[in-house]
Amino acid sequence: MFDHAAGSDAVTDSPRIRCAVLSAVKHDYVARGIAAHPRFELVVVADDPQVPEWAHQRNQQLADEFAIPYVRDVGSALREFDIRVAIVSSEAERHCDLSTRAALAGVHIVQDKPLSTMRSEVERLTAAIRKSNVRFMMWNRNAIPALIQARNQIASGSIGQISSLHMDFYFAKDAGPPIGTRRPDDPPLDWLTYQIAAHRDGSDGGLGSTAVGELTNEGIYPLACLRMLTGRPVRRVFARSTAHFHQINADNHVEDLASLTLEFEGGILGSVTIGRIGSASMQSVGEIKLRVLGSEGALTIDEALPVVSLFARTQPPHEPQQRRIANDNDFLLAQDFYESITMHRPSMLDIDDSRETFLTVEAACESCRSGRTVDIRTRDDN
Amino acid sequence: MIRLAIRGISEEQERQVAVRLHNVDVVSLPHLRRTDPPAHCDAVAFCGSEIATRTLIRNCLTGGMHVLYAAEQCLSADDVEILSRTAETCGLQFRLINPDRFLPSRQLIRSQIDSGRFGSIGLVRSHRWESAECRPHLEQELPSALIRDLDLTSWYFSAAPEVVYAVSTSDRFAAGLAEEPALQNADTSEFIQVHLGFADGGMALLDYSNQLPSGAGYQFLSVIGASGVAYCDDQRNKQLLFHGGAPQGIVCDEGSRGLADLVQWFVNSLRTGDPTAATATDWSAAFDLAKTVRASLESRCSITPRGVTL
Repeated sequence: MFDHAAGSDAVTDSPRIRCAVLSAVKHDYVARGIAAHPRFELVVVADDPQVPEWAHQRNQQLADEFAIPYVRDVGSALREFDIRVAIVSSEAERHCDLSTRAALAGVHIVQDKPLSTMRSEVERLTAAIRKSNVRFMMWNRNAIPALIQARNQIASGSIGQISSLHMDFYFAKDAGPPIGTRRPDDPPLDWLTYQIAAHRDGSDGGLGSTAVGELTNEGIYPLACLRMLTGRPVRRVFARSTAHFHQINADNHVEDLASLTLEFEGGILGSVTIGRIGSASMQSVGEIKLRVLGSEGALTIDEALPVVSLFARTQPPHEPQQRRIANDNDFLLAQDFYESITMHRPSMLDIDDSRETFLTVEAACESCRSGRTVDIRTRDDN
Repeated sequence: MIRLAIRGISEEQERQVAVRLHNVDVVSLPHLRRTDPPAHCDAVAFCGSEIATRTLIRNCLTGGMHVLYAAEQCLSADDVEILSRTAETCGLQFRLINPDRFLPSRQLIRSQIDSGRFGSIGLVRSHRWESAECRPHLEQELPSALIRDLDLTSWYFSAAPEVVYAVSTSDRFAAGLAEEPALQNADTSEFIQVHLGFADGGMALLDYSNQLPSGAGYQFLSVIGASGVAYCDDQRNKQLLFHGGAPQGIVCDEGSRGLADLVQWFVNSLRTGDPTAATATDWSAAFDLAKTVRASLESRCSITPRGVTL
């Protein structure tokens, strides 16, 4: 058991777990979250040599901040730095390739979301992890205090057996100019160019050559939460999506708003609404709510709580006014991953559950295209 | 001055509404039996939790009274058609309106949409959870509260959906079981979820449940537009009562203004003789949508309003 009070080496005299950051070109919060945990240590940043120069610059920046080397050779870094954990935060389209290479090298993996943009890559990674028997965790929000509170309430039986559960997952950030603002003679906005520029304010979650909509990119968060609370896979989905807010999404034919009806194994029903709905929609990060109906009662959970509200005359317009306190998600995820390694057990969002959420998102996207319900079991068998 | 009887609300509510009305003399009939039409009135409004039979409403019309039906319990499509014809024969007004449209919160949202502040509507999300006392009438297509929410959603989009998908935990919608006698006495607690797709990408997710333990219910409504959003959440609109143990949440209701506005609107429409205000035709869209929802529940498929299975 980890003993905070006794200090970082109180548990054993074993050295900290050495980690390689395999590409930090998107968000670096995963690497920082792991680095902040006393049992992990970043020792190298690595990436493939052929990535663009802007990617090398970002990798080098992180390496410089942590005073560690940046190596333009993933294989060498995994071999030569005695790495036990790879932290993958590349563009989504490279997630699985980097993770697969780490798995085949016998290295445990913490990966940013989404799992991938391609089913074939998901299957390749799944096979590699099963073959190598390494631990995998996709970064998630299941350790947010309000969701832990929800989980505990459900586990205590206070609302009986779950019959349905619903999550709203909206980000209040903008993603470039509003829809309808491009002049007819102007070319469509280029996805990658926009995402590179958006790195400045952290709204580059869709970084990559392949455009990814909000359902594809962020859907793992609410779906992983519902998976955690039900313990069951989704079997059937009906979904709708649209580009409703942002010109970049409309120009690249990917959604910024989606809604899902979910049918879980065992008859539990659910729904998710998700979107990047713009800074006009909320005075802080966004509206994230969970509602659960059970046989003996119900829960309504505001994921942000507890918060402190801050207002000041000199406050910048886009600064969040509701500040979360007691958010220990990063530490608890890192702790869970540490225990998954040392106790040889699955992480709180391992490859099997991650693959399930990917299949749900994939089925939802198909439903959006066809207007029909999609049976996930049938797709998985195929 | 129009003499008006209001059925389905308490004496205190009647008093609160009456003091707000212009050109209306509210006729108080505290001892009137539920089955008797009021006498000496020009009009009668059925509101609140009133469950008015077709016979009672028809007797009001044949007794020479205009009728506003704005109760929580929806009339059936057949009743609406028969009563509309009765009103026409009698030369009287029979107005149907979803009372939720007049709630201050719903009116505020509508005004934001009408002003253009929200831009085009992208998503309407609604939860309505009631306690176990609110059992559905099995002869109805759907629970009345859900039909009202479907109407409200269509009102906000100013359009009917182009595709409907619905799911439920209830046995009564399973194909082939609609006439099953055993279900007439079965436990009718249920959860129904309706997913709507509109042209131009708009969408709605509505759910209804009567599975809560005895006590207060829960409502949530959000309307998300391209340039603005409204959130109306019971969770936020609660005061706290501390009387030992965990604090108790006290819901802040929306008061009597909405009902007063609704009744005033009805009275004004009688005075102006507006033939288009809240006629049976408006409700036919809600009934049609309820039928499509029912068809989706029974078939477990997504369906267009024309009945095409996707």
